[in-house]
Amino acid sequence: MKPFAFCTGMYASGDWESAPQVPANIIDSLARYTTLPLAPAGVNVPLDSDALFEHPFVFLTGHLPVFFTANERRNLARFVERGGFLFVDDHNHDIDGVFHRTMTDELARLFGPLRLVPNDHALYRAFFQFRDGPPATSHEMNGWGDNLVHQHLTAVMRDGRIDVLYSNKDYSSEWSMHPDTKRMMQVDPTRFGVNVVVYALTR
Amino acid sequence: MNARMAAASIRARLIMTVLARALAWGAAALLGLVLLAAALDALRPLPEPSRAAALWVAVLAAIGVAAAVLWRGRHSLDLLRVALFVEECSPADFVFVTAVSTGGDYGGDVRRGVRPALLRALVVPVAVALVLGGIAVMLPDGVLARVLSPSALDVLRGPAAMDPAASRLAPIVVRVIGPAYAGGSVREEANPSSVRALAGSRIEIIGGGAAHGAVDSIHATVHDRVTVAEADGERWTIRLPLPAAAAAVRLTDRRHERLLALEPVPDLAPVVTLQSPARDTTYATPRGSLTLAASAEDDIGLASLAFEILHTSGFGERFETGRRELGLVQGRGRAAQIRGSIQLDTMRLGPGDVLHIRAIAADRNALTGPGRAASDTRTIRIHDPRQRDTVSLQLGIEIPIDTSVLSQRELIIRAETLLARQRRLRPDTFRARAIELGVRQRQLREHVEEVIEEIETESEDVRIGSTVVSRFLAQAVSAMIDAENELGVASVAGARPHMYRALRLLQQARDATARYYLRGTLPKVVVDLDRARLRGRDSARAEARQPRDAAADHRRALLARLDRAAAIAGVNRAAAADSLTVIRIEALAQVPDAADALARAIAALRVGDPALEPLRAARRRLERRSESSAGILPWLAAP
Repeated sequence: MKPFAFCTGMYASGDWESAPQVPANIIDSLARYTTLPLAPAGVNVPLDSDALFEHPFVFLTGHLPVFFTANERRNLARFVERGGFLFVDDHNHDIDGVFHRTMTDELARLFGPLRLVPNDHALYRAFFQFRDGPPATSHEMNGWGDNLVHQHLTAVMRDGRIDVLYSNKDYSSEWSMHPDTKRMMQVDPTRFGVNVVVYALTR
Repeated sequence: MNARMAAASIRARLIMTVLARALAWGAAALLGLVLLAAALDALRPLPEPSRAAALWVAVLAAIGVAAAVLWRGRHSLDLLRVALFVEECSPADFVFVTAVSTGGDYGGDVRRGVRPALLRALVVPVAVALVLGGIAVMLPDGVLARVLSPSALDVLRGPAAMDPAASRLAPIVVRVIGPAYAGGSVREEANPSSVRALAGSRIEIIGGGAAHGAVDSIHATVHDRVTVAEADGERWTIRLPLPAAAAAVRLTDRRHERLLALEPVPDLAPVVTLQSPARDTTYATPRGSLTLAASAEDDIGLASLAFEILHTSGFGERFETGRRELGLVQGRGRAAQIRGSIQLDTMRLGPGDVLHIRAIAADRNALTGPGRAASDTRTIRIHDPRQRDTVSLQLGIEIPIDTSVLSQRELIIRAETLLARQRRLRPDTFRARAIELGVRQRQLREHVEEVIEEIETESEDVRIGSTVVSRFLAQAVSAMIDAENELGVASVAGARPHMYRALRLLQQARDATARYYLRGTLPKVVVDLDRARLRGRDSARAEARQPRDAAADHRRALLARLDRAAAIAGVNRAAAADSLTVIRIEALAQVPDAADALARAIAALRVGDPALEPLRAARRRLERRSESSAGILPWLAAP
């Protein structure tokens, strides 16, 4: 079996590279808590390249407006149609921010409207237990961005199974730290990242 | 009496006769062909397009026949030919012909001999036209109208059904009234099994036999919603909106039923294309102008087309985005184009700022829309030196241009210094230094000419020709020559404007050279997996996963129903066609590639044609399984 590689999607508009520490941090957590065969470094793959189809999981983030090109749209649609899992996080943590508005427009255009993920969804029990749904981030608690603690994630689902997961919670900032920093924290904030990856690979 | 005057009088009568004869033969041809079409239609009803075509054929034939008669009688315009005609009618040893040709007098009465001949020429065509006209008048009501004003409603004309118990659901006419924003066009289809129409249209189903019993027993059912018919003289009408998705209308008249498929055609959103800027770009500095050009097309009509520009500035976690629209065009056509430009210098752009430019359009759909669409988006970035992942590549040709800019600026400084010191210098010293500056200016000009040569020549044999950069440089050379001439006669003040013009043009040439920025290099962080493996402090508690349900196979389900419908086709074609109509409505949503083949099978069953081949084709479509191609890569998951 080939090891799992954390894949960050590169898109032409915006700043896909805004959270460069997230991949290493999630890989480190996957290693700490699971026996998944892992690639030691994340990979960055252009959304309009066929290399996208080598990965079952793709992470997208950014602050700036997102407008996919025709090739990026076509590839993303095929990626999800073939069973790929897309995890999108708004690095702005702002429901009126341009990333949120433009990215949700693009996702709705490709896959239909995003719907609330119930907080008892299997996603929250895929590895760790999150009884109250998605864990809050320190940026939410500090009132950054839209000054809201988002109670739900949204998603494009087929028969209850998530194909595209969208987060307003700014996990990109929450998980932007050196992996060793986690040793000084009472609760590891990347545990939910483990859930997302395990859910994506086992749904 | 003058012979020519007599001939002219005869000529006038002759012309009138030719015109009347052409008219009579034309009318006879028209009536004959219309009656022929009506007779064929009476024997076996012709479809509406054939009847419309028959009328046009009759009209064209009438015009042709009349034109042929006029052509044949064209000699009646010639006096000498008229005189010969008179000679033919009442022979007089060509005395009248001679008198006409010489302009002499003629004593005889030429009209008496001509009159019978003219009457004979009219008798046959007028008689034929009258006989055909009489036949037309004696025909029953509506027979001629089916040819003269063909309409889909003609299927409802004619004697009403004698059996009161017979179905009033055949024949029917479906009238489709398009939405107002699309022009509200009206079309009628006789006895359709399926009606395709623009979403938002209204449907009127019209039938006959309203006098044979109450019409409230006639109703249409769509998704459990029942609409009762309204009586309108001999006809009944059911009015209903076109449903949002394909649906079957079940028409019921007492114990009789009939199925009608309604297929809404969605109003497509506009197609918007951004022609300029053609690609994403990173600018070293926010200078110059950016040309914008876009076009849009819509299947019904465009309401607006504009450029949308998003300007995002900020760094780290703080970004602000402003939006504005440019060049809004509003109109009612199906296609539109817009052009415009933005001045980067005036947009307060800073390092790291990003412009997203796209064209946006909306259509005129006032019912289910408006349909909005956008072009591809171009991302224009301003280079930010703080971004480590950005690599700037500049063309080598910039270096000589840069040095030329510096040299020209230095020459200007020297010239202005010389001007400032002019009063303190002796005239011959001033003149010598001015001439020396002129020599330096010439050397710089020769250097720039070498750069132009380098730009416009790819190799010894291949010449590229002028480019944007070389054109700016050529204009700079021209300005330098003017400056040299002024400096050559010690007119430093006169040379100054030319030197500044040369500097400005060199600067423009420098700005016009391409610079390339490559994004996307990130530091690669490698995790020490062995050190981290299973060292986590938190304990997991994953729940057992539920097995995945098998995906619904719509093709297989429809295939089973198709087989059952095909099995009854040999016994009851109408029932088979109805079953296939229902199957097709579901196929339109779930398996659209099978819908066309099903439509052919339904049409064949309805008109009594062999349906085996279209049924096989529909089956082949439904049997099609998932396809894989060699080009799709497997999941590898390895970096």
